[in-house]
Amino acid sequence: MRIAILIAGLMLGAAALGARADDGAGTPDVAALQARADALGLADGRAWLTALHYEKGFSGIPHSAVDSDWFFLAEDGHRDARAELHATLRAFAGNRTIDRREEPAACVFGLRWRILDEALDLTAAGVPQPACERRANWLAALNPERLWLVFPSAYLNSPASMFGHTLLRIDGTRGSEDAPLLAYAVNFAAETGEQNGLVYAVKGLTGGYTGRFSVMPYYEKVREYSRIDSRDLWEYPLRLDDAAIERLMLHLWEMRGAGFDYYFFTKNCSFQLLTLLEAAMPERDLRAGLELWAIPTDTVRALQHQGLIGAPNYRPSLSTTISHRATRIGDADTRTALAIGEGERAPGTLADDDPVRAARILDVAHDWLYYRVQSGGAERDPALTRARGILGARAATGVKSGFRDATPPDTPPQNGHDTARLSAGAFAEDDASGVAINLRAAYHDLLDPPGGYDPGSQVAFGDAELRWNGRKDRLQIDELRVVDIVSLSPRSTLFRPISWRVHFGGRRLSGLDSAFGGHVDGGPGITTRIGTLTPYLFGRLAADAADDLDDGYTIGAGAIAGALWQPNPAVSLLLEGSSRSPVLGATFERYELRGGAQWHWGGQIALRAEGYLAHERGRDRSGVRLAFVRYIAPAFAPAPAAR
Amino acid sequence: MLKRTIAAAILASAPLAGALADDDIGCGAGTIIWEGQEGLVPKVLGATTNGTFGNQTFGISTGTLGCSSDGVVTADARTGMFASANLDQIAAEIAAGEGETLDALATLYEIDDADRAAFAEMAQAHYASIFDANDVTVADVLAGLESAMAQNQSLSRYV
Repeated sequence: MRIAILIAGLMLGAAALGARADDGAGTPDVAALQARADALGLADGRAWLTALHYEKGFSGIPHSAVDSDWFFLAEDGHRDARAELHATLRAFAGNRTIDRREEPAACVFGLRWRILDEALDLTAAGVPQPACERRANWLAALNPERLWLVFPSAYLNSPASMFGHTLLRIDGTRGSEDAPLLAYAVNFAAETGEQNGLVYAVKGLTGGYTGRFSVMPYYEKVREYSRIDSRDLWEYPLRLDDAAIERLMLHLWEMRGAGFDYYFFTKNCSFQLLTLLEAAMPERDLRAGLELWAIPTDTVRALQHQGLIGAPNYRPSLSTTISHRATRIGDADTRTALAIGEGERAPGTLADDDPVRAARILDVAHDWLYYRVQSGGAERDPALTRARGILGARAATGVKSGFRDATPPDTPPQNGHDTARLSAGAFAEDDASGVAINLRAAYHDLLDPPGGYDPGSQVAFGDAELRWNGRKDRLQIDELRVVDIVSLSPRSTLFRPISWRVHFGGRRLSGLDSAFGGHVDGGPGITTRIGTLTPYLFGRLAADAADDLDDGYTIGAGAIAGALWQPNPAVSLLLEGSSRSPVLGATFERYELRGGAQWHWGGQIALRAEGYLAHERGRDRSGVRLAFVRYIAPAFAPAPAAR
Repeated sequence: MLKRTIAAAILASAPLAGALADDDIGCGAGTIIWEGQEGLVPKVLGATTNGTFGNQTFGISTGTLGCSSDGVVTADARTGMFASANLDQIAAEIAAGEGETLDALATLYEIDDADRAAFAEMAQAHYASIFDANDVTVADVLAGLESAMAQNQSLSRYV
C-alpha cells in the first residue's frame, strides 16, 4: 500500500512537471543545481557515498566497490564522487537512458534521485522523475512490508561453512503474510561455476569472481539451504522503518546487475548486505570493525549492536528434522524406517493396528531417503520409485504423525562467543618456562564455549602463539596455525558421516629450542556421541619440514583417539592420545597424550588449562599451560543517537 | 486453472524477455538449461509445463526457477512455479496430510483458513490418484489436485 502511494506520488509529480514544461518553464539549469549541490557538500555526504558504494580500501583512496561501467555516469565516477554527482544531475535533467538497463537514469538510479531531490528539490527545479513503470511493477509485486536477515548455519560435517552466509527476506507480496515461503529473498552471490577446487579457492580469495545482488522467491533459498544442503536457518526480524525500506528497495533496483569483486573473507555476501543496508540507512555505520574480514555471524552482531534485529525464528533443516524425529520414535522404529528407506522392507508391511506409529516410521523413512539422494548417497531413479511407494503407504494411513518441530538450540548464533580470541598465561616445559600469549583471528575450537556454534566443529584461522622463555629471556613464536579444522560428526543409526581433520601451519616440533618449521597434518575418522561425551578415532598422515630434522623433513602416519566431554555449558574437556610413526624422511617417532580443559563464564571470558606427555625420538617430554581467555568482538560503531 | 495460468504466464512475460536476461542471476541453472533461448517464455514454460524436464522430482529441478520479470514471479505464474520448485515436498506433505509447503500452496489457491484442514485431508485422501505414476509432472499434479478439489463440497469454489 505504502509503495502504491509512493508510485502514485511519483507519477503525479511527473505529470505535474510535464505540464509545467509545456508551459515553457524552459530547460533546467543544471549548472545551478550542481553549484547548489557543491555548496551543500552533497558529494561528500554519507548518503551519496553509500549509494555509490564508496570505500577507502587498503590504499586509503576512496573509490567505489562496484565495477560495472554502466553504474557510473561520469567517466571517473568510480573514484570521483563529485564528478559522478554532477554527471547524475546532468543525466537526470537530460532524461538520459541507461542503455544497459533500458530505462531512464532517474528510474534506474532511484535512490540517487531521492537523495538529490530531498536536498535540491529537483522537481521544483524542472527535473521531473519519469513514471518508471517497470520499477513500479517490480515494487508492486514485491510490496515490501517487513525485512528479515536470514542466516543459514553450517553444513553437516563441513566446519568451513560455519562461516555461513546471510541473505534478506522480504515479506509483503501477496500470500507471504500467511506463508513465509511465498516471500522473496535478496541474495548476494558470486557466479563461480568452477569445478576445480584450487582455482575456486584462489579466485575466491583474490577477488577473481564477480558478485551481484539478486532477487528470487524465498522458497528457492529455503529449499537450497534447508532441504538440499541441510543447513538450519535463523530468521531475524529487521527493525527498519518504512522510509528505510523504501530507500533499500530503490537502491536494490539501481544495483540490479551491478557487479562487485567478490572476496570470500572480506567483501563477501554478508558484508555487501551491510553496504546495501547502509545505503538505506546512511546515518549508520554498519561495516565498522569488519574491514579486515567479515564473518557472517559478526555481521549479524553488527546489526544487533545497532539495535536493528529482534529475536530469531529457527527453521530446522531436513537432516535436523530427521534426527529429531528418529530420537522421538526410538531406535527400534528408526531401524525399521531405515530398512524401508533402503528398500529392504516393503512400506506396506507395517502393522496397521497403530497407524500413527506407522505414519511416523514412514515419514522418517521417506525423509531419510530424500536426504540420501540429495547428499549423493543414493541413485535418484530407483530411490524415486521407492519414495513414491513409501508416500503411498504413508497417505494410506490417513493420519497425521503429530511430530513437533525440532526445538532450536539453546544459544542462537549471534549469542555465541565472539570470534577473535586473546589469551595470556604461563607455560612450563622440561627446558623452558615463562609467559604464553596467544592471538587467534577466528573462529572456534573444540574447547571454546559450544553455545551458538556447530557442536563438534573446530575452525581456527590465524592462530599465533608467542612465548617468552624466562630461562633464556627470549621471545619466540611457538606456533602459527594458519588453518586448523576438525569435524567431529557423530554417526547414528541413520547418518554415517566420515569425520575429518586438517591442520596447516608452522610450529616447533620439540619445544622452544627446536627449529620453527612447516607442518601439515590430517585424516579421516569416525565419531560417536554418548550423551555429552563425544569419542572419536582418526587416522592421520602428517608432514613436517624443519632445519633441525635429518633430511630437513619427516612424513609420518598414525592414529588419534580421544573424546570431547561437554558436561554442561560452562565446561569443555578434551583428552586425546596420538601416535606417529615415520614413513619418509627423518625417523621421527612420537606418542603423545594431551589434555585440555576450559571453564567459560560470562560469555566472553574463560580459563584454559592444557598439558601433554610425549615420548618422542626416544625421549620423554611434558608441558603445561594455563591461560586466561578473552573473546573479542569487532569494533562495531555505536548506533546513532535518537533524533 | 492451470492452462489459464500457463497462458497468462506466457502473455505476461513475453514482452520482458530481452537484453537483461544475462543479469537474471536469480534464475540459477534454468538459464543454463535453456542456453541459447534467452528470455522468460522458455523459462516459464520449462517451469510450468515440464515439456523439457519430464518429472521434476527429487531435486532435479534445483535452481531452474525464479526466472521472471526482474526477479519477481508474475502473479499468474506463481502457483505453477511454486509447485514445480517444491514438488517433492508437496508430495511428502500431501501424503502426510499437513505441512508448510502444502499450506503455502493452499495460500496460492486462496483457500480460506477455515478450509485449510479440509484441503490437507482431501489431498491426503487423494494422494494415490494425484501421484498415479512415478513420472507424473507438475501439471499432472496440479490438475489432479484441482479435479479433486472440484469434487469436494467445501473446496470446489477455489478451483
